[in-house]
Amino acid sequence: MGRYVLRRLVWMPLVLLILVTVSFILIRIAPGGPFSSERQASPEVIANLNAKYGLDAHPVVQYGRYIGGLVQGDLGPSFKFKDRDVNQILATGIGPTAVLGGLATILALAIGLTAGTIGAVRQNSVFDYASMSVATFGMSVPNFVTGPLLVLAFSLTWKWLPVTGFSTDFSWLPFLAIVGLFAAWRVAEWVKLGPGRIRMGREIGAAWLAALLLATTAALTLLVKNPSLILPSVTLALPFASRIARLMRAGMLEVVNQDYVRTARAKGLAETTVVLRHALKGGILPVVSYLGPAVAGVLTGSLVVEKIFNIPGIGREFVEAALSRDYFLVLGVVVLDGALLVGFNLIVDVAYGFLDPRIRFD
Amino acid sequence: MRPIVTALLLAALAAPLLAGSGDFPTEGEDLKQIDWTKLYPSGDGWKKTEQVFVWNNEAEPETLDPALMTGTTEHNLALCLFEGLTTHHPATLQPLPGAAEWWEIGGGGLVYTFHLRKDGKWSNGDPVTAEDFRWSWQRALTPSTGSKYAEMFFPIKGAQRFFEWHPAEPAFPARGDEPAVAAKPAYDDGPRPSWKDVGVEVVDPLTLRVTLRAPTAYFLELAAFETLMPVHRATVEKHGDKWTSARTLVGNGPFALDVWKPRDRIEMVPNPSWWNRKMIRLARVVVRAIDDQNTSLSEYLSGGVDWIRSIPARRIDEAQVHPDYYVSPYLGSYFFRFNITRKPFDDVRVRKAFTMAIDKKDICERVLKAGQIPASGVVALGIHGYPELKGLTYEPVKARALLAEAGFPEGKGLPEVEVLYNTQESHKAVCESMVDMWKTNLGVKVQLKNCEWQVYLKDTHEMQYQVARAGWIGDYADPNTFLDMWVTDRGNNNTGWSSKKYDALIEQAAMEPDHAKRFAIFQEAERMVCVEDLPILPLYYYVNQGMLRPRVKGWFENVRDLHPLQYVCLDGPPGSGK
Repeated sequence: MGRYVLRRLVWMPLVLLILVTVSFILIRIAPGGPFSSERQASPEVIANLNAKYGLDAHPVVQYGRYIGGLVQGDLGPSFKFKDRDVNQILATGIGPTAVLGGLATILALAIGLTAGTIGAVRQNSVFDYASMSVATFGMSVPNFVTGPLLVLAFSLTWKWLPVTGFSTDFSWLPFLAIVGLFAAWRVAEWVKLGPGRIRMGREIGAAWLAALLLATTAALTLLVKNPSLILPSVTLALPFASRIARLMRAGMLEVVNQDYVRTARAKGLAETTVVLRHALKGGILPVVSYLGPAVAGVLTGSLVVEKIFNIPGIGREFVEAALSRDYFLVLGVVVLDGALLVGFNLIVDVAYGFLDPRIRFD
Repeated sequence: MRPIVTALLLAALAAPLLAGSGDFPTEGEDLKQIDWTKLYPSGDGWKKTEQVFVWNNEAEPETLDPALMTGTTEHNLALCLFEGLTTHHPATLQPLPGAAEWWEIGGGGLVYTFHLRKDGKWSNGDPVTAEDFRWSWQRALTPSTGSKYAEMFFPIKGAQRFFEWHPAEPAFPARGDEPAVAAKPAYDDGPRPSWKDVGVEVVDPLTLRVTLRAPTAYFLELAAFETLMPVHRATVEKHGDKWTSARTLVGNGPFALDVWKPRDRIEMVPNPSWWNRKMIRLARVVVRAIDDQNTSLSEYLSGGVDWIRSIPARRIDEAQVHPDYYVSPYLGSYFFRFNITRKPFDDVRVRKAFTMAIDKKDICERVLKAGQIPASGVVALGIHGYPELKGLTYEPVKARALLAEAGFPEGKGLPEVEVLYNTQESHKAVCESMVDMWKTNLGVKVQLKNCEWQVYLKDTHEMQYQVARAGWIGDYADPNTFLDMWVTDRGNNNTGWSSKKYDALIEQAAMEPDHAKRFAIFQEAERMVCVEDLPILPLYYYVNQGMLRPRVKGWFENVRDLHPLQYVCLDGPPGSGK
């Protein structure tokens, strides 16, 4: 396992290098340049700008310099936003994008896992039909439609929520309350059971529950304290939650009919225990493999959602930088997105090993 | 055009003409006596309102360094944070004293002597001196600073030579390289110029003397331009490229930078050291950077901002019925270039036929709908004292005859024609209706070719087109900004058109000190471009449109969409957007 992770980590820079090289070539062969505009600057001015940014050298030399800087963590200047370099632009943009992506992920998981599980357990019930209809809607309607519709309803018609604005006010109070309650519950349980009967497996299960509760609490606190985050995170979470719900339902349906679940039922375990302890672990696998690229996706930002709600994230930077030929900014986003994607895929593969005992890393 | 919009526009055009006449002196010591209260809204209502002005600036500024700025987004911020030698009258744009308290013009309009304020201070308390201006101008003119608008200095004697003789040092000099030595500009036989050869002289700490190359009638307006604004030397030298951060920026404008959250907002508070601080009524200015026009309009309608500077094209009908909607002429014109080096547009009769077959009024009313003004010239409206060119009109019959005369009756035998434009919905709509008109009126079939912005720019500059869409925004309110680009081989000519007579006219206008004569020369030049030789097809003049809450006072529409906020105050509760 350790060797497997190590091997993947060694390959990572190579994957990124190939990614950067291809992107470098692509952006450089695109017609136009960072200094062209409708009001064309004089050849002297263009020559000066090229010299200032080192674009007067041979492209191979420029590539060498860029890789040299990259190794030292320097992503280069931005031609468009002259007061900040690419490192600064990405550093200020990743925060809002990560907050929004994190919120959307938590919302999507909370809603999607619950709806999918109930849908599978109560297959063909009214709840199943209703939730799957909503999920189909959520998956098929693009967020450039849902976003403005939500704005129209909640901001313009009822005036409950703001359209734009980004803040991250937070309160630790609900957080601490949950931790306190949880600790009290565990201690009460231990006292009841007596020292000899505390089992590790149960405690790990409880810790998972605590983590889920804390994540949800953090998300809800953030949403209550910053109403401007509600519409963008819901817009971003909707297709995400829908996909998770469908995957979860399908995964669970496959698992609940398998022998080991039947065995669990036959042992006379309560239905909740069967579902949560036995079926869930297997049923969640399709969701986990989907989560890797999906979380990397929301964490690198959504052009559409960031535009509709004016979130100061990095989702917009990539497209806008590509259009204005802001070479180093494009490459910076590529490096960041690439690293996130490779990283999350690795996490997913490792998580698989824990969830599915059949998978071994050699 | 809707009658109401027409009326609004005519009123807006007339207002500056009325207000501009003789209210304020234009030079001399009288400038010291200006009664600034005249520019402020009267009444005390504002004292009961929280003075936080929130508006949307349409985009994230590319820089806050005035020497590097190029757009209106940045210019409106520069007006808050910095102050040039002169400033603008908020409605008429007439140059008024800024960092300079008064000035003298001598030497036949060639020598400007600016007398700076004794109480002029930077936001950190340092005095604003003539040396600050000299250093800032030298910095902007030094090629390695990377100013795209360095040519704004070229009316100053020696500035262009200085700039072109001093190329930027490469960012990564190879080991052992000699320091960059200028490749001598081809036209130039003189010795290598030094800064001493540039007509900027510090007479004493508060007096700056500027000598021009030619009497440039709009120089006082240029002196308010962002490229010519001063920067604080110690700050720039200490922090380098990063001196504009909220923590470090030092300015001499009415407001000081407080918060800069990129892509979200910039917040400014009154600059306590500014010479006229007591007149500023706003307590805080919040500048949003919402670049999506739909989001911007939603934000306005939900009550989040007091002013937005644009309306999405698809929602014009909806916006026009809103009481807060405003529209006014803008210093920009929209036209099409003909590539006159290629058939069939090497023949002026074909160019004329294609121009006269277009019903511009119809395009403005039916396609654009925001009150854009059909153009027969290229100089945008709203330049004080410059009359609108009455050029070619819509005459389909005559157009057809001209095309026949050129040897293409009913379009027969005409080579395939293609119109180039950059991918955007409104351009597409305009181009499609033009194709339609050419087909109906001339019987010719024209193809459309849309390209991504950069490809479109490249094809235009390399003249890989037959007819190409174009737009031009004036840098200052003078015809020169629209006309000098058609001089032979200018970087933005891009049509292949060249006329010795035209070149001579533009040079003559540059040397002419008399205002009326100068404008007459320009009108003759404009007639050559838009009536006689037609390297371009003028289509319409731009408009500004947006939404402004009635509680915002001291804010004026003007042709450059520039809004000095020191005159603004709020009177009334925040709008609900109803």
